[in-house]
Formats: sequence, C-alpha cells, structure tokens
Amino acid sequence: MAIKIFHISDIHIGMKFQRYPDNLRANLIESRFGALRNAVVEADRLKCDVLAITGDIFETIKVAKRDVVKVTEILGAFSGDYIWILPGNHDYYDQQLQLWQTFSDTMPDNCVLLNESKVYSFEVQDIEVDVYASPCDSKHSKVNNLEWIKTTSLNKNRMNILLAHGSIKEISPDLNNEYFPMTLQELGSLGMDLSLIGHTHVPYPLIQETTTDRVYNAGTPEPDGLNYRFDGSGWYIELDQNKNIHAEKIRLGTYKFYDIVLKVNDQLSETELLKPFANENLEKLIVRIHLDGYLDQDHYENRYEVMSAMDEKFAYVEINEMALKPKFTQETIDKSFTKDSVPYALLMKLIDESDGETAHLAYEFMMEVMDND
Amino acid sequence: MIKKLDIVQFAGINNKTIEFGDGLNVIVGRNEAGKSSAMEALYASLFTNARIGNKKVEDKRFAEMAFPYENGDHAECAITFEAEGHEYKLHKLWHSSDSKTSLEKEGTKILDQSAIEEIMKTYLVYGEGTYSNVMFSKQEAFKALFEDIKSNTETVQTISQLMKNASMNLDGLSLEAYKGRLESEYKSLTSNWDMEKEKPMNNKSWQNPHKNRIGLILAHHYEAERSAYEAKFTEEREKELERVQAEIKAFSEEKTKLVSRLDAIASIEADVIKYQTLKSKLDQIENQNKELLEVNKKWPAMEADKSNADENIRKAQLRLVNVQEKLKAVKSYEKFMLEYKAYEKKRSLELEIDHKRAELDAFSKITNEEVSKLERLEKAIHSANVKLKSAELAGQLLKSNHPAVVTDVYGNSIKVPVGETWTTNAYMKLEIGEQVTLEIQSNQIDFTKVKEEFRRNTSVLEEELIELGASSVEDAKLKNAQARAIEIKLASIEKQVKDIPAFKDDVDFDEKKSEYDQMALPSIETLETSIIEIQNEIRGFEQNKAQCDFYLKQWQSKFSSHDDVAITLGENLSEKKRLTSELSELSKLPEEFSTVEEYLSEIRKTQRLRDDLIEKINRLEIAAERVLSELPERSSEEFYESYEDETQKMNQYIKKAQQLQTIMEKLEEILEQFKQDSYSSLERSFMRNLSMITQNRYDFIDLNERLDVAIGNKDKMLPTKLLSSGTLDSVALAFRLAIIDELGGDTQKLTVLDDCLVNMDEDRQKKAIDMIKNHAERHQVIFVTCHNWVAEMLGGNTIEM
Ligand SMILES: [Mn+2]
Repeated sequence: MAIKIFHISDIHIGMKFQRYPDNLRANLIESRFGALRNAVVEADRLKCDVLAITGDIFETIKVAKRDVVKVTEILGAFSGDYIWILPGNHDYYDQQLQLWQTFSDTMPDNCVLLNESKVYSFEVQDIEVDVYASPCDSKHSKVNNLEWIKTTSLNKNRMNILLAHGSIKEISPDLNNEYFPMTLQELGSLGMDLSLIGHTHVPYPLIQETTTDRVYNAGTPEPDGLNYRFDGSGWYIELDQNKNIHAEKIRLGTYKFYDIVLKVNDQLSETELLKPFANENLEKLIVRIHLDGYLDQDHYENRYEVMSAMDEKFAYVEINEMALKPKFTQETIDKSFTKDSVPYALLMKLIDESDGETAHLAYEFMMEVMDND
Repeated sequence: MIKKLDIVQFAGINNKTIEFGDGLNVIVGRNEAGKSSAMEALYASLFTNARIGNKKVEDKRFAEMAFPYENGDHAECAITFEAEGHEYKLHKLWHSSDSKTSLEKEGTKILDQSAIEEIMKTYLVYGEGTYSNVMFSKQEAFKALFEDIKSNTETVQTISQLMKNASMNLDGLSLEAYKGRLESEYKSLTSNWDMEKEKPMNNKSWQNPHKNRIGLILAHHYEAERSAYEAKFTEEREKELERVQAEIKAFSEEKTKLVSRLDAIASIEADVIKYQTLKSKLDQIENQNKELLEVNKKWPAMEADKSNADENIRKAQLRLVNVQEKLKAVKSYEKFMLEYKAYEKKRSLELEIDHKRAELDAFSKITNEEVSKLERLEKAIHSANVKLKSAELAGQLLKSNHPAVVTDVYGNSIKVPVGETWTTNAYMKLEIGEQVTLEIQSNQIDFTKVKEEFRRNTSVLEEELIELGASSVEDAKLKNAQARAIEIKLASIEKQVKDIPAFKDDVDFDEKKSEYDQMALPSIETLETSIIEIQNEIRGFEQNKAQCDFYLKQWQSKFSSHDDVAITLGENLSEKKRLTSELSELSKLPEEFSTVEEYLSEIRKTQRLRDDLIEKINRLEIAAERVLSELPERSSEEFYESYEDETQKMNQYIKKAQQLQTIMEKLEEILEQFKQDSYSSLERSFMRNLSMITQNRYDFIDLNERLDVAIGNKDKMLPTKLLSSGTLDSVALAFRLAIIDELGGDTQKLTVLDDCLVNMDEDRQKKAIDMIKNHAERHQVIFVTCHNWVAEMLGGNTIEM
C-alpha cells in the first residue's frame, strides 16, 4: 500500500501578463488553466489518491468569479480520493473573501479546503494520514505559520504530511522577509514524513527523481514570467506504509520562459540566436535575450533583420541590445564616405572621442537620411 | 590607372573586354547597351567582395543586379590596372559559396585576401566611400547638392561660402536633413524630458502629465512611474486589507467567544427567571411546611406539656404545704428545746451546788484569821531566824582523828573532814568521835531567848498546822484560797439558778424530750431550702405553662386548629411535588452566578459587548469592502514587474538620447571646424573650374591670393546667375572635379562621369568639355554617354558598347 500524491502549487490564475501582446496574453492567461487541467490529467493517469495544491492557485484575492468557477470545474475532473487546497499568500484565506466563498460553493466533493492551521486527518489507501495545514491568512507576513506545529506532538504511527506556503530561504531569497519565510532546516526539524511547500518559484529538489527527499517545493505548473526558467511541473510522490518515498518531477506546462544573456562575437545569425533553445518547442517559448558583445559592422547593421526573423519563431521574443555594440571602425567610414567630408570627419571624431556605438548610431542616421533622399 | 576590364559574366554582359587608356575615355552606346552594367562591373571589380551572402540586403541587391537574368548564380570579371609602376590583374567571381578573388601581379597569382587588399590599396588610395561618393558618383547627386544650396541662398552669399556649403553637404548627406533627423529623433526621445535633471520638464509628474509632445523617455518614465504608483497603491491596499482583515478576524474570534457564551447563558434566560419564581415559591412552601410539620408535631406535645405543668404545679403546691407544716413543727420543737435546755441547766447547776457544798464540806475549813495567825507565827520564826543568821559562826577542824559532826541550831548535822571550814547560825554543836561534844553559842544575841522564841513559835506553828490539817503555812493558805473559790463558785451558780425562770409545773421535760428525739426532725434550713426549691419549681412550671399557652395561642391564631395544620400540610405537599417536577424541567441558574441579577447583568453586558463587536466588524467589513474594491485586479508584483520593464526601456532610450546628444555636439564641432578651415587649394581648384564656366568674369587667381578680402568684397559676391538652373550642372561638375583634384595624393585619380552634358546649352557644353578635358590631363576619366555627338565633342579614347 502506498499513498500517491500529485503535488502542484502557485498556478497564479488571474495573472494579467500586461507586457505581452494581446493574443499571447490571452494564451498565457488561458495556459494557466491548461496547466491545472494537465495536472489533473497526469494525476489521474498516475492513479493518484491525492491532488495537493500548496497555495497561490489564484494571483489575487480579487480574481474573477468565473475564473474561480473554471478552476473548481477543472478540479471536478480529478477522480482520486482527495484534493487538498491550501490558501497561499496571493490567495490567502479570509472568511469574508468572495474568492473562497465561491470556491467552497463550487468545489467538488472530494476537495478539502485547508483554511485552518490545524491537523486534518484522512485515511488514504488504508493508511492514516495527518495533514498539518499551514495556510496563509494574509499576503505578507514576516513570520511563517509553522509555530503551532512545533508545539504539537506528532503521532508517529500515522503518516505526517505538512502543507505550507512561504519562501524557503535556501532556495530563493525573500529580500524583505515578508512572505512567510522558512528554512529547509526548520522544515526538517518538524519531523514530517513529507513536506509539501508552495510559494518559491523554483522547483525543489532540483532533480528529476528522488527517493530521499522529504521536502518538496512544487514551483509552478505553468511558468509565469521571465524569472521562471524551469519547465512548469508538479511532483508525483509515492509514500508507502513504511514511509519509504519515491518522487518524480512531472512536466505540466505549455509555455516556457527564457531570460538569457547571449554572448556574441562578430557575427549575429539566426543559428546563433537559436542555439540556447535546442530541443525546445520554440512556438511555446517566451524569450528575452540580452545580447552582449561586439558585432562586425555589417552584422550590427543587419541585426534587426536577424532579430525580427526571430519574431515568428517564438511565441514571443524580446531582444535587449543594451550591451550589444558594433565593431565600428575607420574601414566602414572609408567605405561609405568621402575622405574628409563632414560625415567622414564626424564618424572619425566619434570613434576617437566617444565610442563605436555612438559613431554607429550617427552612421545609421546618415544612412537613413541618405536613403530618404 | 585602369587598363582593362574583362567581363566574363556580369548582368547582361558576357565575355566583353573593355580597354581603357590614359586620360579621357568615352564609353558610348545606346540605352540598354550595357554601359551602366559595365560601370557596375568596373565598380564591383574594384570594391565588391566576391563572397555574396544571401542575407544582407545589399548582397541580395547586388546578386539581383550582377547575376545574369534569370538563372545566373554568379558574376565574374577581371580588371587590369597599373599602380606604382606595376600592372595587376584582379579577378573576381561573385558567388554565395564558391566565390573567388585572385590577383595576378606580372604573371603571379595571389590568393591571400589581405595581401590582395594591401596591393589594392596602392591603387585605391582612398576608402570605398570616396570612390563611390565622388569618383563614381552620379553627377545628379552633385547637382542636387547645389540645388539644395540654391534653395537656401540667403546663407550662401559668397563663392567661398558656396563651396564650403557644398563641401559640407558632400557625400549625398544633407547636413540640414541629418541635423533635422538627429534632432527629431532626439526630440522624439526627449520631448518634455529634462536630460540634465533626469526629470520631466517642469517637473510634471505622470499624475499631472504633459499632454502633448511626449517623448519616448517621458512616455516610459510616465509608464514606469504609473506602474510604480500602481504597485505601491496596490501593495498599500493589499496591506491595508490584510490589516483590516486581521482586525476583523480578531474581533470575530472575540465575537464568536461572546456569542457562544451568550448561547450558553442567555438561551436559558426565561427558564432561569421562571426557575427563580418557582424556586422562591417552593422555598416558601418548604419553609411553611417546615413550620407546619413542627407545629403539627409540637401541638399535641405542647398541650400535654401544658397539662403536665398544671399537674406539676398542683403537686408542688401540695409538697409546699407539707414542708411548711413540717417547718412549723420544727419551730415548736426549737422553742421547746430552748426551755428544755434551761431546764437542763438549772438541774445541772443544782447538782453542782450540791457538789460544791459537799466539796466545801470535805474541805478543812481554814479561815482567814487562822491564816493570819499562821502568818504571824511564821513571821516570828522568820524574824528569830534572821537574828540567828546575823550571829554567824565559822569553824574549821584543824586537827582531829575523826571527822567532826557539826549540828546547827535547827538540829541539822553535817560531817566535816579535817581542814574543812563551815559556818552556822549562832549555835553549833561539835561532836568529834565519842569523846568530844562541844556546844558553842553566840553572844552577840540573846541566844537563849531567841532560841526560845524560835522554838516556841515553831512548835505553836506546828500544832496549829496539825490542827488545821495543813502541812505548811503555804498549804494552809492554799486551802484557805480553795475554799474561798468554791464559795464564790457556789454563789455564782446559785445566782444562775436564781436567774432561770420558773417552769410550768405540769411539764415533763424529759418525757417530751424523748418524744421529740424519737421524731428525727429535719433542720429548718433544709426545710426552708426545700420551700424555695419548690417555689422555684412552681415558678418554672408556671413559665412552661405560660410558654405553652403562648405557642398554642399563636398557633391557634395562625392555623386556627391542629386539624387545619394537617390539612394545609397535605395541600402544601402536593403543591411542592408539582413545583418540583416543573422545576426539574427548567435550566437552573449557572453555578458561576450567585444571583439572578448577576446572571442577567452578565447577559446584558455580554450582549452589549457582542453588539459593539458586531458594529465594529460591520464597520471594518465595509472598510475591507472599500479597500477590496479599490484593489486593482493585477497584483502588486505584476505592477513592479511593469515598473522594471518600463524603467529598463526608459534607460535604453536615455542612453540613446545621450548618444544622440554626443553626435549632435560633435557634429557642431565638426561644422565649426569646417567653417574655420581655409580650403585654399580646394577653393582655388573650384574657382579655376568655375572661371572656365564664367569665362573669367572674376579674377579668381587674384581673389584666391587675397582670399580674406575677397570674401568680404561686395563685388565678389556670389553671382545669382551662377546658381541658375542653366549653370547649376556646370557648377556641380566644376565642384566635383575640384574635389577630385584636391583629394590629396599626387596619383592620377579615376573619374567616372555619366552623361552630364546633355542638359547644358551649347556654350556651357563646350566649357564643360574644356573643363573635363583639362581634368583628364591630370586624371583618368571615363565618360559614359549614349550620345555619339557628345563622344565626338569629347574626343579621347572612344569605346563603343
Ligand atoms: Mn506565494
């Protein structure tokens, strides 16, 4: 006998993705539902008993009612015994909130809203389970919600599972310590057989499969921004009655974000630009590339042509050329202008007294003006 | 010097060799004969890299132009030229992958690109730009330059200015347009943005924004600021909401506690009140019952007590009478005993009198006279004795065989040893053994008389004493005293007897006494105590009785009768049963309260607190609702992200604007420098060429020698005619050729001229041809025309296409 849990977190339904173009934005918004749907499908495929969602299903407590209903409808498809829903800091629990009222009113019967800091007892696969729930009751908190557990004695005969939401210091820094901060050490000291954590947008552990780890951070099933560099994923976790553990990371997401620095040297080509994305489905990639380095003048001149060719390859690409500079030399000037003419002299002066980049900008405008004539 | 161009394949030209000569070469052919293609081939051979990419626009354009239509995939040419005394042949094959470039130097082929480039520089001493902009330029471009200047005549008032202006705008770059473009770009970035202060102009924030002319920087600044504001606004609302919700939660918890407390205590309020009423009724009944039970129990006892008391009183009174009678008896006995005692005393006194008399009788009655006689005798004896004493005799037995016996006058003898001394009164008889007896009498007195007196008196005394029956005078005196004492006593007793009153003669005291003795009468004290006790007893019984009476009267007035008590008690018991069962179904006052008042006040207090909390919570909920409604649908995190995006974009544009600033500044510096440069040789060249056109209307040589003067000279002002449409071509040509002349370097320069003579009138054509010919004297000129007459006029090496 083993309990099979599918653990996801931080779906952030209701994010607006304002910085992206309209059609992509709509897709990004929709893909978050898709990821939840994928999670339910995967959990069923793996015959999971429990779907555990450790917070931030919703981006804000003001998430639209229809989105909440859409979520509960998706959850309704899960055929396992239980869905454990833990309010996170973005969708924290407050009795007054329409969000959780709507959720409770429409959630499927096997769904348990863990909105109180207490032990919830379940029986799964003939194994008795104590779920220690540490939901959030506000968006910010300088302290985590684990204290009550430290003063509660565990029943070692039961399966003890923690569900909590907050930043884990060792995984990702929470600079102001205002998101229910906790540490791996602290979590370890609770003596849980399994700790399912949400909030930190980095999957933990950073491996595909494990039989030793007891603390899991799910990351998000659908990457939600350029700072999320991982696949959207969830954890498939088996816990047998002897408390042996086996966990596997399951990919769930549709889109994937890349925010990378690409060092360039002399040349800029499509191949060069696509190199970091080998084996990726470009159509589902949202990419920001910070080009860094010097390009030969002709490559620099043609950079937009190369860059704009990327537009149709990716779902979205943004190329930042703040750190991209042309190799702009006298050779180019010689090639383009009459010796000692004004443009010639200006560009030479800019190279000497400023930099090639500025000279090139001056040059680009010269070309533009001359083309217009 | 270009000597030959071999076109293997280039645009529409195949296998064509064009040989060039020194000086003026004229390529002539009709339109579409391939003249311009040949010139493209010439230019490409010199400048265009053989490797053709397929990405760059210019590469594509070149391929389109140079590769034979429609299936050509490459172009190929070889150009032969002479430089620094050597002849070279540069061969190029333009192809996207198999491009080839080689250079033959006097039969030796070189493939190394950099070596080729080095050699090429010996011929092409300027950058490609110089060739394309000047040597190979379309004459139209130069004409346009002057057309531009012409439209701006007021700033160009002298030939020098004209030339400078033309120089500055060389290369097809209109400085005005360029400056305009830079400025417009700068403006589009920085409009209403203060670059120095890095703030919006006039500090107009996004909340009171500039409405027009919003540069990209400002736009992104506003966007960033707006996002920052939204983020902060959102975050503040989020935190405010959290705070309010936490407060609501705390109050709600408090309220829940109060409500559950109220539920516990207030729900039974009616019960408690009813309970209290019934309970007090029950208590009343129970109290009454207690009394009734007691009364019921006590009533008969009380009545019994009362009659008991009566009986006791009666009995006690009887006893009292009895004791009082006894007392009377005892008192008469007492009285008798007094008489009896007197009687007894009289009898004993009489006995004593008898006794005393007998005693007195028994006594030798010595009278006082007899005692006095005795005393006289005694006195006489004593006096005789004193006399005797006064004639004391002392003796000493000095020597004798026997002890001496000395006898005194009184007849007393003592034995005296030898040596011993003695004394005697007036007489001594000394007997020493048998033989000696000696009497000695004192003469001092009349011994014999005294002795006689003494003897007689003593004997009389003795006789007297015997008679009196006394042993001595003293005895006689004592007996006299005793007798006297008895007589006194007797007298006293007799007097006592006399004092005792006389008794009734008929009383037999002894008999009566023995009667009394047999009666064993108690004492008066005992009887009197008894009487007091009995009286007290009676008083106690009377009190009992009064108490019983009191209660019985009270009960009667209260309950009327004993039977009625029993009836009421019965009624009460059934009422009590009813009340008890009713009470058992009611909730009691909770134990924590001691009174219902306390309980009720606690309920009211708790209700008040609860109502206060409900009101507080309502207010907070309204506040939460308000904050929630103000809360944007995007989270603060998303706004912060936007803020960072926008700031980054803004910074990019700021950087670009700064670069533009630099460009504009440097451009101004360059232009300033150009204005100050003298251009003397270029100007000389230009004017020499101009003079050919203007038929030496100006003394240019002179002018140039005194340039400073000439520029300011009114007479040397720019003739308006010079820039008339008719002369513009000539002026542009003059300028171009002057530029080429003055490029520096003393090698002859290639000059490729297109059909620039066709728009001139005949006169100007001639002058232009002169100018070209003059130019061709120093440089290799390739003139391309489609007009045979032009070719004829020009002469030189004519190449027909
Ligand atoms: Mn979170």
